[in-house]
Amino acid sequence: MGYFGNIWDGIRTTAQGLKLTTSVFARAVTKGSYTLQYPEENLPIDPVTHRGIHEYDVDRCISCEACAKACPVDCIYIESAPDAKGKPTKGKVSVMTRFDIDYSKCLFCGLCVPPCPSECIQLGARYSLPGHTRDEMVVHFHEGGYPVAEKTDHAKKMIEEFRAEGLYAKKRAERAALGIPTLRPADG
Amino acid sequence: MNLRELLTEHLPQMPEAISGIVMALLLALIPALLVVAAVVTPVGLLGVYAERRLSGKIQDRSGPNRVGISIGPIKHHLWGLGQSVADGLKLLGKEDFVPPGGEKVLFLIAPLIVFGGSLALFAVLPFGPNLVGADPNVGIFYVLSIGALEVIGVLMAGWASNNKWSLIGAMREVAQVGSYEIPMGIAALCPVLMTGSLRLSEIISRQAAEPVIWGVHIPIPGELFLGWNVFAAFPFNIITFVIFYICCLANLKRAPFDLPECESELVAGFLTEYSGMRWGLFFLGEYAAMFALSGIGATLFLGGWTGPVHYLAVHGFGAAPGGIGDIVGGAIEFTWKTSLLFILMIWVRWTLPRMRLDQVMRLCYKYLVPAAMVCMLATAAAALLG
Ligand code: SF4
Ligand code: SF4
Repeated sequence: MGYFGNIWDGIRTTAQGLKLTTSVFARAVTKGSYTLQYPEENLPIDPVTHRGIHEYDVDRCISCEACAKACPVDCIYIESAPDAKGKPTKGKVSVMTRFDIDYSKCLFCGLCVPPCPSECIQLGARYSLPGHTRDEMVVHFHEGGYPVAEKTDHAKKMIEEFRAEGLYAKKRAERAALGIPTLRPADG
Repeated sequence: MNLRELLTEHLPQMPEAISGIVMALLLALIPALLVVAAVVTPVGLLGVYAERRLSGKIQDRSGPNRVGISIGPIKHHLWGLGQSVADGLKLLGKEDFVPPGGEKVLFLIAPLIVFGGSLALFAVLPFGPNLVGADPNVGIFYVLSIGALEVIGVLMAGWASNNKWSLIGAMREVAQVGSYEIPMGIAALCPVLMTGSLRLSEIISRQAAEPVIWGVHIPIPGELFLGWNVFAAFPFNIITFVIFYICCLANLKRAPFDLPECESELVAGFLTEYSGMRWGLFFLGEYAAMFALSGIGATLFLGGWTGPVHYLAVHGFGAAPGGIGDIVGGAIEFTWKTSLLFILMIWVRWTLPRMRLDQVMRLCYKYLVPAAMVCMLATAAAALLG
């Protein structure tokens, strides 16, 4: 390319570039930019495949600790109310006094989900847990979990069973008697 | 011979140009101080804000849009206007770090020289009729020489940082200066040729007179576009204006000429070791100089504070010359032209990729210098014709 060809090329490509940025600018101004204003706007999330904060039904949990044992980083802390002999209650009648998940440790691997015999724990679509301290990263699920979105046949059967035996109401009353508030809704 | 003797014995005999510069520097001091508070800081902060918002939109994002005011019940995001203020306050609170092994004194005064250099440009910037700090007889000469002062600050910063990145950045700046100063000077000569004076106020008043293009008188008021220097020796001074503008970009070290900073190769070039408010001074200085050079470009080629808005103020609303309407109209005129050139700088920065040093030199020596020469000859011919 000759001397003047170079000059023309420079002018042409510069104009091309300026045109491109103008078109993006015009689109961003008239139609809004591609990015979202996060806390006010959210990207839609697939609740089935997304691995976020757990969904957990505190009333259906049988305190078997299978999830805690499966957890590779040991971030699930489980305690249940003692029975008449002073031993922690296990099985259908167990009343959870502590079910904490420390999200500063949790790696959202999902290994806690398959072992659960009552299918009351799952990874959900929630992902926002802002806070200033490490303590705020611990969610107290015994104060009420989040309803499990996807219920298998087994889970549905168990819910029926628990309802029929009046376990939901009973456990809630017992927790209330122990002074544990119910902050979030559960399944039953 | 000491400095006092030098000044007392030789100053009177010095060529008028040099004593003019010394006088301008002294005269510049007081308005400069006022201008820092009233103009430079707001211009710098607004410039940073504009740059960030516009670049955001160009990259299909929002840019800063949250930091506003929250005083009691008054809460508003103010479209993010508070962001620059918040960033400035943050910089004020940061450590003033001096790298061990560097030249401490040079390192500390380098940002002051760069900032002072861009500040001194404001001293001769004609914002409007009578709205000017100083109007020395060496106007353009002063602008070009003060604009070059900044290079010394950059070289000092790079040299004193005891850091390879900084030094390479500074050396690039020095190499770049040699290439852009020549076409810039030639381009700035064209308005001078048309006017026959280096004084900025005379250059402006010539552009407000009845336009003469290639010796042909055009019977409309010069303020309506045609009198402007861009249209003198049509179409050559349009090219001159573009050359001047490109050289301004190189002078300001802005993309595509940001080789001395060059984040992707040199960390931050000569700024690598700077932190806190000293870094902030470089930054503020850059935006202030952007505004000042845009203003100089508008003054030399686009009629300065004379133009359609000013014309409307004087002839449409009957503002008296030197009165408040005259001044306000002129200031608005100057501001819109300068802002336009300023925004163009931002637009160019977010469009063009960075050049290599050899490409910069090739552009300046091989293309801009000959083109500027041709335009200057044509302007001289046009000046002879009328
Ligand atoms: S998702 Fe993984 S890390 Fe988190 S609680 Fe479950 S098993 Fe533990
Ligand atoms: S595995 Fe399921 S039932 Fe067992 S403790 Fe964990 S959540 Fe509760």
